[in-house]
Amino acid sequence: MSVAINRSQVTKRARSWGYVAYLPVYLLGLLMLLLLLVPLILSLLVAFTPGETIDIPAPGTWSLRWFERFFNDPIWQTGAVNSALIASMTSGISLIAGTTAAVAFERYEFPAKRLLNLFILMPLFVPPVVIGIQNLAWHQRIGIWGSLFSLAITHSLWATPLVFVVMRSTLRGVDVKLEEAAAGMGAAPLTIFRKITFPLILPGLLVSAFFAFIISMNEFVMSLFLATPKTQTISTLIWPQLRYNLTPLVAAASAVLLILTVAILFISSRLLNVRKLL
Amino acid sequence: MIKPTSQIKKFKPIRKLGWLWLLTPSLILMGGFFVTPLLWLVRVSLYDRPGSASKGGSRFYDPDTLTFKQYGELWSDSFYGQVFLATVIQALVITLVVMMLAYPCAVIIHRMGARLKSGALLLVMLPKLTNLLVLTYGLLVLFSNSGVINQTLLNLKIIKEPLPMFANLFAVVATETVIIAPYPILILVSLFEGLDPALEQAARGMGANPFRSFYETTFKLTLPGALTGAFITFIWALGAYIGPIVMGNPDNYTVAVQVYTETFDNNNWPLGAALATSNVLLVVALFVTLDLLQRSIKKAARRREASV
Repeated sequence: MSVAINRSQVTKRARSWGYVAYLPVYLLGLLMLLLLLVPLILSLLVAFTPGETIDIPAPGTWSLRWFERFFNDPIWQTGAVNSALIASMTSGISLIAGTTAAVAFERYEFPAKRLLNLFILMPLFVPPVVIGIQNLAWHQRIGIWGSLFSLAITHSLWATPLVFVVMRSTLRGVDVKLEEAAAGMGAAPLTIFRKITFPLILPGLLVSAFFAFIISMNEFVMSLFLATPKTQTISTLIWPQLRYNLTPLVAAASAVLLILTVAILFISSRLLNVRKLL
Repeated sequence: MIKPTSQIKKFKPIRKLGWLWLLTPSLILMGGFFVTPLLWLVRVSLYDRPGSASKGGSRFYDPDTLTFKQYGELWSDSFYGQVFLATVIQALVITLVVMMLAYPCAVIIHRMGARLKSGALLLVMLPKLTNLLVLTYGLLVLFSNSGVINQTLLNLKIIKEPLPMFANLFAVVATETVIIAPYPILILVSLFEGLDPALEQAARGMGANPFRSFYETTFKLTLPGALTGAFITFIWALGAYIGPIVMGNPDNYTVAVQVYTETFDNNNWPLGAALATSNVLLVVALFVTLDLLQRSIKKAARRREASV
């Protein structure tokens, strides 16, 4: 009996010490979350400043003047149109390439699967500067340098692996038995896809398209290498301003991108459970 | 009865070779616009710079040459050696800081309730999906001499001079941490989710304190995954570009920054290509090391199991 009491006391003391030891873990983890969140909030706030300098606006003095400047400036307008066009093309390219590859990986057996998987994910592990310069040299060689397609195909190198991952996890959630049953009843592969698989993976497809769009819209380093005066995007227009000429206009441009991104992410999270992707 | 069998017979060969057709678009994309450009990059790095051998040709390199001159320059000019050394050291510091923050962050996300967890995961993905310039701009507003932290502390009379949090290593590491950390956090959270929670409880039940029970079960089991996360962090840190150039001073400039300078400011594509190629070789060497390391860890674990 006494032994039991002793033991529970020991455990209790050990427990409280254990929790104290946990404190740094919680603090560091919280610091990380703050570091991820605070910069985004700050750059959003600065966009509403009424003055000429970078300041957090005092309550009650919020102004939309920098947004007005942004939307009325023809240079930024062209940039926004280019960004949207490139992002749409990236969405299309990576949706086709990523989804077909995902179907192959989830529904077929073939040799060197692990290697091919790595092959498709590879660009994610290469610094964007390298992808930027290698595509610059190659596009100059084959003569597509300076076109919007040149930027879109390069952004697709990052968007496709992502679509691939999202679609694989979506397809894993579709019961193969449904497809097999349809095949057993004599349906052709394309009919099976149209009538059964497609409706079930539609949310995944939409989320993939959104992700590809966001990635392209926000990509910067590769764009910096590939963009010419004719193919400037919002990102490449922000860049010189950020380095040499800090005005709240940059914050307004950033805020527009940020608000768009968050809106698209919010819709995506309604369509698909984020945790399922992990 | 005959019809379905003939259908299935027709269906099967398509299904057998279907994977090849389905893989074609992605293979064309990766082959034509990733691997081929990479090989072309190596070729460009072996050209001489434009104008040095006359005859006009390209504006960016001399098309009739094949030379290791650029690599010779990288090797002999101590400036580039310093840039590579600074890049590697900086990348090591970034990796250390990222892992020290990302691991605890993954732990607290893992312990959140379902709804809070979804929100936290979105928050982690957000910096990866927003524009890096937006993020950098926010960090600039936070850390610069007239930034939020310094102004607040000055106004409260806690400090007399602004704290040096800008144009130095601190600012670079902080920026790159925010840019890179989402990768290891997501990897670690997915590892934690896959663990059996009963393990840690069992350790607790046997009288270990929370910290020890965490260390003996969760920590040891996630170590190989954490190592993968650290390697990915290191690879990204080696390619750091925005952090050093916006938040750092010339001492913090990395190989990536130099690639841009040589290519555009000095109009020397071959040298830029040689720098980029060297960077890729470094990444490949790391990948091979990681693979070997993981194999030896797995082998050691198996041997330990066998001896028990």
